Amino acid sequence: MFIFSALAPEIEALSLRAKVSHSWLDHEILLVTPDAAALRWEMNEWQRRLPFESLRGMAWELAGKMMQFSASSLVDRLTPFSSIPHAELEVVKERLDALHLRKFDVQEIEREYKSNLVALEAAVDSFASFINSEAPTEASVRRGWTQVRERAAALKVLFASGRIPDGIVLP
Amino acid sequence: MNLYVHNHAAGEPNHWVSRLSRILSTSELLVVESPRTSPKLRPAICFVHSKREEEQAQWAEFAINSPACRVVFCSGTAGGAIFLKRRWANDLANVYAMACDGSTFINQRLSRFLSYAHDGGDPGALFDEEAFPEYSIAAYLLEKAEINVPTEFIAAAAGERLPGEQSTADVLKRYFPSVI
Repeated sequence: MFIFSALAPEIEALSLRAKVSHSWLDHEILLVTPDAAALRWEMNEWQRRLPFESLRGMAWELAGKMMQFSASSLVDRLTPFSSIPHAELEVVKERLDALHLRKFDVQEIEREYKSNLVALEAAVDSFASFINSEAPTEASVRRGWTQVRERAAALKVLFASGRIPDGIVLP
Repeated sequence: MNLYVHNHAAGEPNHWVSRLSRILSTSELLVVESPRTSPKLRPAICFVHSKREEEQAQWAEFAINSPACRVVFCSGTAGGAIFLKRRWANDLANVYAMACDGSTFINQRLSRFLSYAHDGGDPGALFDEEAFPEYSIAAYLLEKAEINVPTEFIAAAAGERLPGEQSTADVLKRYFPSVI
């Protein structure tokens, strides 16, 4: 039995984490330098499509799934546990969740994550509105984008520091 | 056999895919960092590190049309590999997903991989050879939850060790290196 079939269906938080941390924060924001942002503006790319919308919803979904990083997520997915009575497995899950909460202050992490996400969204909205409604200059586009990147970098810290784990955390 | 690395982390020199690319470049094989599929890639082993589903789909299609090529979807985490395997590799014989994290691959398997690339052989054995150590993990979790571990779990877990691994913790380090 390989990990892949053993753990299907996928643990949603792991997929969401990858999409938010890499696809959204890294590829759509942090790897886009102010120079590149100014170039996109010159090419009218920002005006055609702001590349943020699809992943915003996922970022909020992740906020509600922080407990899926607990090892209790593995219990229903590992074949050997099928030989153990259901009631006993529920106890195992409860205890694993308790151990997870001892290691991770999930409520606090959620609070910080949401707070940084709100700040990033505000910066993104402000940038979008600025691009579409004012008459921006290259310098102002750079400044606006720099603010978006600063907010994204603050959110990224939660991922890079491991406070939002990059996989299932064993107790 | 050529090697291609589709590296979305090319701007991050310390990322393990960038390290993999650099290390492969020191071998005698031709290594190219390529962002997209191309007929010129054939035959090749393609390491694909991309979080973008549409790019992954292009590589899967490339694998279907290029039976002489191998496409290896890479993820730095066991969870990511699960996702990639489930999405692409279960149904395609020449598509693989890294079953271990990238650093483990570099540290433990790269020399065997390069032997394969030089001499031929089945790379699938390299990527999928390990059964996921389900009993080791199950035994570990039961122990942590202070539930008696069935003796058959203990025996099966011992059978999941690779040479050099002394304990269940050693087995788990392969998959959960940052948390043990």
